[in-house]
Amino acid sequence: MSLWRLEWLRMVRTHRWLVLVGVFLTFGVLGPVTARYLADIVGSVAGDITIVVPDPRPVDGILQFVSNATQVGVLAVVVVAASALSIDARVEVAAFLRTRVRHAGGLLWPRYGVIALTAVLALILGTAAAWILTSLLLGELPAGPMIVGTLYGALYLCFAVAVVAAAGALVRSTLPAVLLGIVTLLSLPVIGIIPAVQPWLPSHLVFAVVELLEGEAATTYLRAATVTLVTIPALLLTASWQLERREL
Amino acid sequence: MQLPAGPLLWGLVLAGTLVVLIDAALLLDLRRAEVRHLPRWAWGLVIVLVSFPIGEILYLVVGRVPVAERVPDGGRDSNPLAGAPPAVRPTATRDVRAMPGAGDPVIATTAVTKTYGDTTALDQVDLVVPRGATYGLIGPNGAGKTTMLSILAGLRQPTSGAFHLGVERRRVAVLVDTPLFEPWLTAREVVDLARTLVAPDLGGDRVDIALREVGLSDAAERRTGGFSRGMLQRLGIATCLVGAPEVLMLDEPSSALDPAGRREVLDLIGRLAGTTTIVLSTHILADVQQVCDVVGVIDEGRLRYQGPIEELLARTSSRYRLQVRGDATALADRLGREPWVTDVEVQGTGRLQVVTDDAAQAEHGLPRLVAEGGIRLVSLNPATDLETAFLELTR
Repeated sequence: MSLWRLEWLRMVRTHRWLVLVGVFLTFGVLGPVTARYLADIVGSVAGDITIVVPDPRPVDGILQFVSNATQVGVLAVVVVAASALSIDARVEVAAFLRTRVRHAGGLLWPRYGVIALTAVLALILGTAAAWILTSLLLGELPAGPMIVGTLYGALYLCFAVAVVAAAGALVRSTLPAVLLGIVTLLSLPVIGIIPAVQPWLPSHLVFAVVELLEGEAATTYLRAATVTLVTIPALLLTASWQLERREL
Repeated sequence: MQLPAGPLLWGLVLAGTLVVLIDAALLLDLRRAEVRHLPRWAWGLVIVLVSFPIGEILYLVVGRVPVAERVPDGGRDSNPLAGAPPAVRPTATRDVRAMPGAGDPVIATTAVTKTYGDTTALDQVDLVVPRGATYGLIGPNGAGKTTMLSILAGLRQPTSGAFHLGVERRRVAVLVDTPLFEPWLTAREVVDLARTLVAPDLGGDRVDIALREVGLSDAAERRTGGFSRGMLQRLGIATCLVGAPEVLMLDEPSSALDPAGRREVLDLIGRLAGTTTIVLSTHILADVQQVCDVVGVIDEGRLRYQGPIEELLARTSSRYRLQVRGDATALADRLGREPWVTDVEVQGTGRLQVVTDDAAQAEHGLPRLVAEGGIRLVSLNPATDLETAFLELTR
């Protein structure tokens, strides 16, 4: 049994994959349905008040999905990632593994890989569901922006998992790792208030799929994607280094 | 500029005072606490300079090592062996390098010291484990045994000093005192994982052999989440054996086992002796006396003795139990006048315990005095054991 299989079994036997796929798939279904029937939903609860809801566009189905997925979905990814990437949270289990690997950092890569892969697959499944339902309920969506936007979103999820990996190496327990990960991810949009910085931030990729569907050029996100691609290995190497020097 | 007045002013003063008090309390705590990631002075700056309450929370969550994580050996506890606080004694270490197999020691530490904040867990320890030895590292709880083993296992770094490992790191197997595994793995998967990590070249049949060796063949397909502590301990031993290690470090391996399980572990250690170097850390002295040939007595972080177990017993105050026919009071009076007798105790009709500081004289003198007194001798036995030796060293 290799460390990769160990992580695969962790994902499957603890049903963590179900949490990730369930969350993204649920919002993938609910997003287009909500966008399509928003006027009816609002009308049924508004009573005598008249609320004018503009006719839904196809992009609104994806917008609803992405809005929910970036909140609850990312939170689910952070929690699932922290539970596996807090490598030293249980000292006895950590001692068993650490005394049998050449470098403690070697425990990190399979955990990161399996979680990031599962998160990306969950995102792809959710996006596919949202895409299909939007096409059925609201109208066709162009394939190019959908695919490129989803890839940008997947890159952001990989970044989120890397942030949690670094947090898990910095603090020992799972809960502090979750909190540190969330605080770090939430701080990026706050920093993004500065217009000059915003295009460079990984958080700029979150709504890329929606903005691409609305006509934004794919190259707009190259700076953020580049920073993210550089930051992910930097975070993982930092986490690995920290794990190496941390005592059990 | 208009200064705030009235309730607002008092509110600001109150808030400011609160912040100062909290920061002062944290700075006081910082002086005593163990910190990580940054030096102590840097955490002081974080507390004072970073906006309230972010700096304070950062220190508490990230910087301060929780009490539960410090000095994992714990303090001195109710272990009856711990006894009263020991007086500081010089280390009584025989040069174990002169022992058979010690020319190329498998483990040798040089002045290894480990501190946690103000607590010294290990103090200038020079440990030498001869190749092929079964080395018993004994001491009361909190003595520094687990810290020593953790350093040797590579799980912690010494604060100062160095250590030499005479084999590849992956040829060293370590069993922690309370082994725990992923609860969703089966016993077979756990052992196979250990095999893959340390000895992938060994065949998969090693897994079955290791499980059979510890009596877990029937539970091989069960998930470890439902295992008792004893089963986890056995499984831990199997994960060590599967890689055919050259050095086996066992931390309290029989602490969770019933008498039969303990016997099996001791038999296992006995079988491995000679082919595998074993370091056995325990406070169960009877186990050490049964299976170890070399012993290191550690107490309050200091190595009080290191050398062959027989030598430790020999240098300890010798005790003898005598059984004679009839009343032993007259013999006790006679023995009490001998210069080599330090204590005589009548323990019942015809039974005596004699303590001496000169075993050679005692072994000549005791039968002679019994014969001179015309007393019938039933038995004469040495009463010195490892526990006595240990208590003499650590009290």
